[in-house]
Amino acid sequence: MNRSTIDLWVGVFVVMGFVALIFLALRVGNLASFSTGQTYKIEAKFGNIGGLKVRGPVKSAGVVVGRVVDVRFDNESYEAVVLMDIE
Amino acid sequence: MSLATLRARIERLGAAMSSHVWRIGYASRFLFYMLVHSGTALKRFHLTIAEIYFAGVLSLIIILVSGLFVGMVLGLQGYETLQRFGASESLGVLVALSLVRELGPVVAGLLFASRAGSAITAEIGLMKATEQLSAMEMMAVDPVARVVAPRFWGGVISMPLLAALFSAMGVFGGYLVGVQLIGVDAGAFWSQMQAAVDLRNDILNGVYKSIVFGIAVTWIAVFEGYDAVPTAEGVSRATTRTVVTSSLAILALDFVLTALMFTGTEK
Repeated sequence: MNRSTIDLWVGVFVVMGFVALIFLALRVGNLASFSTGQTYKIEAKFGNIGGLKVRGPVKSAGVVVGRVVDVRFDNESYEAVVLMDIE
Repeated sequence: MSLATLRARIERLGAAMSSHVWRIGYASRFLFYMLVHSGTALKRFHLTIAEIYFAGVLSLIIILVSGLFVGMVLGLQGYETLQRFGASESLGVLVALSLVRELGPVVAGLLFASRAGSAITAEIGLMKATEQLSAMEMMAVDPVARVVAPRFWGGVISMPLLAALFSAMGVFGGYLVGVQLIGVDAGAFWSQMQAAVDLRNDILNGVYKSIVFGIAVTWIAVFEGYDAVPTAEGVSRATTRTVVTSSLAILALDFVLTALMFTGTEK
């Protein structure tokens, strides 16, 4: 097989591979909903956070308005301190 | 058992151990030498492109078909289990996460090892057995730079792309069975998937895994080929060893990488 045919097929293969990666990033993953807009931080204290996780959604009236950035324990008040990024 | 036979057994164990360690060291020095002499493979890139063709393009059919069927099976089995808990809408999450995190890199790596790795070993081993490598040395052409390094880079470049294609094809297979055949709601299938699959934590970690597997498989393949006993039997043994060793390496590395990536980071 001559070189240009091989080049063509390798090109097709590489394009297919990158299309698959982009498909995974955009359609399967959440890159499209990844926002880079301005955010501000809010700190809130809870007696019990239940199953709250970092990167969990913060919802207001059921709409996602931010993400949980950090969950830590306050040694003095014995409460959980949750740091949130609000859009 | 007398003391002498006990001593002989321990000696044999020690000899086996040190020969294994010696072999790992030899393989590492071989890898280092190859990386240092990779200049030709990268400068005359058409050498590497030809190897991408043999390792990557010719593996496409098996990777795409296997990915489709693995995704379809995941769709069927996942639905069967999830609907018991009334969570059949989460089918997309199950299919996508298991593919991009685990099955994509691992199964694509195993297929790559048996499809491309064995071919690389057989080719290099046969070149050695027919003294083509010695002939190159006689012409002052370094066989590691001219023959081994392009195959290594071809495999390392192909493997992540093949794993991504496998995962994408699997997700499509899961969609075919879950949404088209069984009738899970298409909106819920995709939106729950997008909400649960994270770009960095899930997709990129899967890509890193496939890169590591690509390096491991092609390293083992070129080393076994280069190190093969130059007889018909030696080449056949080297080919077998490539498939066995690289499959075990993939599974062991997968455990280590999973332990590093998916525990501890999830706060």
